Formats: sequence, C-alpha cells, structure tokens
Amino acid sequence: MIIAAAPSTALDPPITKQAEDIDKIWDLNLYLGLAVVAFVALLVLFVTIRYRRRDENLPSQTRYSLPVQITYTLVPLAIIGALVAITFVSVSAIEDVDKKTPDLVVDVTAFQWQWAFAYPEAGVEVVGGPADDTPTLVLPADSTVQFNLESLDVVHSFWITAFRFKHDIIPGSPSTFSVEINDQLGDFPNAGVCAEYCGLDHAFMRFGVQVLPPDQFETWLGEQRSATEDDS
Amino acid sequence: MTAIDPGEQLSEEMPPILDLNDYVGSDPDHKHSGLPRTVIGWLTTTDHKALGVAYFATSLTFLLIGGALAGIIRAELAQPGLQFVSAATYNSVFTIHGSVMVYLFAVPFGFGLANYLLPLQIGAPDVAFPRLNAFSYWLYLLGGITMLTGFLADGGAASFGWFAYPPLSGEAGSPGLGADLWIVAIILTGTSGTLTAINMISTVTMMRTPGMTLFRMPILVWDLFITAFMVLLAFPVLSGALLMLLADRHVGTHFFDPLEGGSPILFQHLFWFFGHPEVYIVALPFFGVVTEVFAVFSRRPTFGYKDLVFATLAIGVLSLSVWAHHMFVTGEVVLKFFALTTALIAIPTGMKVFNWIGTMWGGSISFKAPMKFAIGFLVLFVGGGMTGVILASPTLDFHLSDSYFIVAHFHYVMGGTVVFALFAGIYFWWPKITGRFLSERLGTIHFWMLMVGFNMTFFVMHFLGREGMARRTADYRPIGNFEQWNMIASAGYVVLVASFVPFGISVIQSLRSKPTAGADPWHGNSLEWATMSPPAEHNFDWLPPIRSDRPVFDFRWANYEELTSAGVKAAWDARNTQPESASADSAQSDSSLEGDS
Repeated sequence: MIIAAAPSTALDPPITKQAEDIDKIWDLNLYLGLAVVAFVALLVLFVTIRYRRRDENLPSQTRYSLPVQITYTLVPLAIIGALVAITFVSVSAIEDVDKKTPDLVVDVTAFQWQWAFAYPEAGVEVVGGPADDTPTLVLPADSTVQFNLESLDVVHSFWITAFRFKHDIIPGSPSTFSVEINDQLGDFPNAGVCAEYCGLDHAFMRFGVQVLPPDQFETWLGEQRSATEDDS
Repeated sequence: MTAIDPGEQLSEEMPPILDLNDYVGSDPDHKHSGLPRTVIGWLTTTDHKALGVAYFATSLTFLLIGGALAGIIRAELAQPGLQFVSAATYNSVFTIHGSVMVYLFAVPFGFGLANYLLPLQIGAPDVAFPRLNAFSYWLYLLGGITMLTGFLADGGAASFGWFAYPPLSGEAGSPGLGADLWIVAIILTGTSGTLTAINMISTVTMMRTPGMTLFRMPILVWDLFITAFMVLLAFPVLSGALLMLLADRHVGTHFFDPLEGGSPILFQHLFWFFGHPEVYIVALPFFGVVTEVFAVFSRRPTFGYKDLVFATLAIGVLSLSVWAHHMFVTGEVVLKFFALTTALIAIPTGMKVFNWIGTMWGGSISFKAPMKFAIGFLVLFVGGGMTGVILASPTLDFHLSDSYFIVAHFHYVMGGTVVFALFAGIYFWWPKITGRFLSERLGTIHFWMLMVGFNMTFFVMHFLGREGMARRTADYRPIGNFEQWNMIASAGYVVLVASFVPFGISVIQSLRSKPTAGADPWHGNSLEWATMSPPAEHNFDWLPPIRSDRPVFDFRWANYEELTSAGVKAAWDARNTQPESASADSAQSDSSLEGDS
C-alpha cells in the first residue's frame, strides 16, 4: 500500500479497536478505488489509440446500446451497494461503542486556542498553556473511554489521528463519544489536532496522546492529583 | 440505430458535404464583431454575447486573483514555520482564495457559458430578459469588488473560511468591516445568480426556435437548464442564512449565537443545503462543455443522449438531499441516510463517464486542443470521483474530514476538472467568439504543463491528509514526509502558474492574426456553428432545419440521407423550392413553418 509503506509516516498506528477496523475499510476502499480509476484510465487509453482519426470517413453513428447501458448502470450500482452495506455495518459498530459502560470518562474542553482534559472521577485536570505548551492526553490501554466534549467559544473539532476519528465540538451543544483503546502503548506527540478552523491560532491548537498500561495510568493519575493538591 | 459502414456511404461519386459558410450570410453585412466598441457601449449593452464575454473576462480575472492568493498559501506552506505572512494574514488569504474561486470564478464562468452559448444553441436572438441579464452582470461585478475591498478594511479581509461558520463569523469572533463586506458580497453575487437562473429558465422554456424540442436541445443547454433550477433552490437559502448572520452581527438577533439560545448548527445546515447543490451548480455546465467536445471531435452523436439528460436530472435531485455529508463529524446528523444518498450520486455520475467514453468508442477521434483538455478532464474527474466515494462513507470521513485529503478531493472535482473543462471550452469556442484560432502547438504545451503542475500540486495532498495534516493551517509540524510533500505541492504550483504563459501568448498571437475560422471550423453539431464567427448582432439570419439534437451535423450531411436524421432532406428541399423573394426576409417564419410540420 502506497501510503502505509512510505518510509517515514507521520500517521501513528491505530490505538483503538475501531481505528483498526477503519484502517481495514480504508484499505478496501483504496484498492477498489485505484482499480476503478485504473480501469477507466485504461479504457480511455484504449479508445484514444484504437479510434484515433485515420481518414475523413464518418464513423458509426450508433447512439444507444441497451446491453452496454444496462451494464454501466448495474455494475456501479452493485459496487456502490456493497460499499454502502459495509458503511452501514461499520457505522453501527462505531455507534454501538457509545452504549458501553465506560472504564474512564474524560471531559474535553476546547477554547481558542487550547485544550483542557479533565478526569472528573479522579479530580485531575490537564490544561494547555500559551504558545508551544501543548497538553498531553493520557489514556489507559485496554479500556473503554468516554469523551465529553464542550467548547467555550467557537466550533472546534477533536481529532486524534491515531483514533482515525474526529468529532466536532459545537458551542452550546455538548456531545459525547466512546472508543475502546487497544493494547498499543506509546507516546504520540503529534496525534492530537484541532480539525475545524477556529480563528487566529487554529494551526497551533494541538495536543499529544500517551497510552499507558492501566496500572501505570493509575499511578500517573495519583501523581497528578497530589500535584494539584500541593498547588492548592 | 444500426451501424453504418462509412466506406459505403462516402463513395467518390457522391456530392461533397455542405459548407455552412455558404449559407450563414457574409461579413460585409455585419461589419463589427457584435461586441461594443466604446466604454459607453460596454456599460449599456444588453447583448447576451457581450455580457457573456464580460462574464468570461471578469471570472478569469478572478481566477488570476484567486490563483495569486494561492501563491501566498503555497509559499507559506513550502516549509514548516511562518516565513512570509502572519497567521492572521494567512487566514484572510485562504478565506478569500476559496471565496473568490467558488463564488466569483467557477459559478460566474458557468453563467458566462449560459450567456454566450445558451441563446445561440437554441436558435434564439437573445435571452428572455436582456436588461435583467445586464443587471445580473453588474451586480456580480459589484459583489466581487466588494469582497476584495475587504483587504483595505481595518482589520483585514474576512478570515472565517468560505463557509463562515458562526460563532466564529459572529460579531465577537470576527469584529471588523472585512467580515461584513464578505457577507454583503456573497449576498450580491447570490442575488445576481438567482436572477440569471430565472433568465436561463425563461429563455429555455420560451425562446427555443421552432423545431427545437426539449429532447433536441444540446446537452449543454440541458445542463445549464437543470443548473438554473438548482441555483433557484439553493442560492436564496444562502442569501437568507447570510442575512440572518448579518442581523446577528448588527441588529442584535441571536439566530446562531449559542450564548443566547441560538443554534450554530442551523447555519451549517442552511449553508450546506446551498453548499452541496453549489458543487453541482459549478460542475454541470462544464459537464455540458465536454459532452459537446467529445461528440464533435469523435464525429459521433452523444452516446446515450437521454441517459445523460436523466443522469443530470438525477444528480440535480439527489444533490438536494446530500448536504449533511459535510457534517458527518458534527454528531448531529443521521449518518446512514446521508451516506446512502451521497453514495447513490455516484451512479448517475458514473453513467456520464461511460456516456463520454461511449461517445468516443468507435469514433474518429481528432486530438485538437479542446479534445486534449476534455480527455484530461475525464481522467481527473474519475480520480476526484473515487475520493468522493471514499468520503461518502462516514466511517472513513471521520478521519479524513477537514484534512488535506478533503482539500485534494475538492481541488480535483471543483478545481482541476473545472479548469480543464473550461480550457476545453475556451479552445473550442474561441474561433466562434473571435473568428480566429488559438495555436495548436501552444495548446499542447499548455495542456501538458497544466496536467503536470496540477497533479504535482494536489496529488500529494491526499497523503498529507491521510497522515494527519489539518486544512486551513498556516503552519505544520515537520513530521513524517510533510516537508517533502508540501515542497512538491509548492513546486507544482509554479508549474501550474507557468502553464498559463503559453496560453497567454497564444491569445495575443490569435487576436493579432486574421480571422480565418469561418462559421464552422470544427464541423460542429449545434446551432452556434450555423452563424458567422463572431455571430451577427441578432445571432442568425438563417437556420438549418432542426430534426435532431445535431441540426448542423444533419445539415452538413443533408445529401447523405442515411447519415442525417429523418426528414432533414425533405425539410431542406421544401425550403429551397419556396419563391426566391420570400426566402430572404422570412427565414425565421420559414423555419417556424417547418417546426410545425
């Protein structure tokens, strides 16, 4: 595959079970799309070579051919039908995660032009500072995480590329979604992006993502909590 | 419907084909080019051809302005970090780049085609409401100037993107006059478009020459006709939404203000209810252009004419029910419904692609410049269509939405295809509009430079988006291959711009050359080739009998009855046997008699 095989990719590996499935559907669509483009391109190449002008005679004036017309209607319909079926199943699968009882709830607050991630059950909050002080969203592996999204000003979009997923954050209508984090551990400093244009420093509204084993995650939460208590 | 063996039909004893130049009248009767020659003449003209040329010139000027703004974008993004402009300037630049290209270039160029060609192709002397038509043009120009004036305003031009989502576009998010000028500019051009649509619908319904039934209209006329209905449904919604936004900013209403119970998502629905038909409003006229070009340069009738008409109607209807695919990631829309309608639109669109290939199939293809650009359009369009099918799936759109993958996608379907089809049209109708040819050699250079430059610039953007580069960002992190791909895109931009040089030279050379094109240089199919080049003031002194969607083809081959549509020869002979005295000044009534028969 062209994109994944590129020597140094900026795209992090999928860190949710949903992202793994989305990548499979992406591959399928990509190969199918490339095949269709190649087919049409070859058809055009064939036509332009085979039927180039050789003399001044008038060629066949055929206007309609029912078998051809039926083929070029029904074959695309079948391909599109299959893709829509896959889409329906996968959309349902992604939406069904929202119904699960989460292991962890994270409150995401977006504002011009920074992020705040709160862990309400632990009383911990991570807030980005000015300029390059990007916050890191820390998550436990092998768990279901629910994100509650809220914007304080304009429309933002919460995009974690390693999730292969984003969700807009529209002021006045808090929203929520859940994912199942898989067992991929690691530090992904480039995974978090604001995807909806939100004004002056939109380009710099970024965050990192870190996935820790569940026990280390609890330790981290404890450290953050005591740090917060020391401050107060 | 049976295939004709060309060898049998064209044996040497047969008389030659008819030359349109012998019938259309002569230049001395029409000394001027049909275009005004003075400033006052241009300011007061209501001639659809002059206004069509004005639309072409104005929209191409906006293409150059939008292209220059893109130069600032590509210069800034060639390397990570902020080198040339501030983030604030960058944001204004991409906003006005997008707005100019969509509202002031792509749509109005289509209206230019409608102005110049629609009356000619249906055999009419002008549009139904010529003065309203002139008013539409001036409103459009006023709107365009209003938008650009934003750069002079305190605080700079609007910087909320071409879809102006509130609350960012509200009073608190975007204070300053630039934002207001942008909103007013879009309302002005939108109103201009609505009036033009009314004119186009009236012209097609009321002004067709006798014999020109609906299913004998050229595909371009069909496409413009259906586009006009979409304009009528979509543009007023945008104007309404923007008036509400303007009221929020200045009158103290709270339609879209979440702090006072307003609904930002309502604006998104209203905008995209306009915004998606808009994509097809841009595209359909250009589909019509390449349909004409494929048929003429393959010497074939349009394959599946009625399929194409119904496919266009299907696209028009479906395009009104797909808008929320721009909002999959808002979490506020029914994903499956809009995924289904969006995917379905691929069927009629695919039909068109196969109609075009079917038109070339079995043809006698000549690769003149218009045909090169039309084939280039076809290949790019299929590429952009495939990424469209990918984006129709919410599953994949969750990742790709608002990334550079989207930027790549819409530059293929709304940028590359439009520009290639536009040049196919310019090279095709230039001899009709000016009476002169453009250079084939320079046209070939132009084509290949544009092809290379366009794909260099935009193909790599697919990779950038998939790997996580968000759109509308003044800067990016130097991760993965981001630097290399952005550099390739910026280098491609230089090639893209350079491709306009051979075109410019060709235009200057052509305008200095002698008018040698004649009425029918390409052996065309539709009625605009049945008048002199440039056309006479009221378009036609004479019309061939109309017995199919290719009256000029039928007439040219009138002596080969197997090749023409039924009844052409009889109609032509009947007209020729009329008394000589009657035929000169009653050409119009002649054709009306035939139309009734």
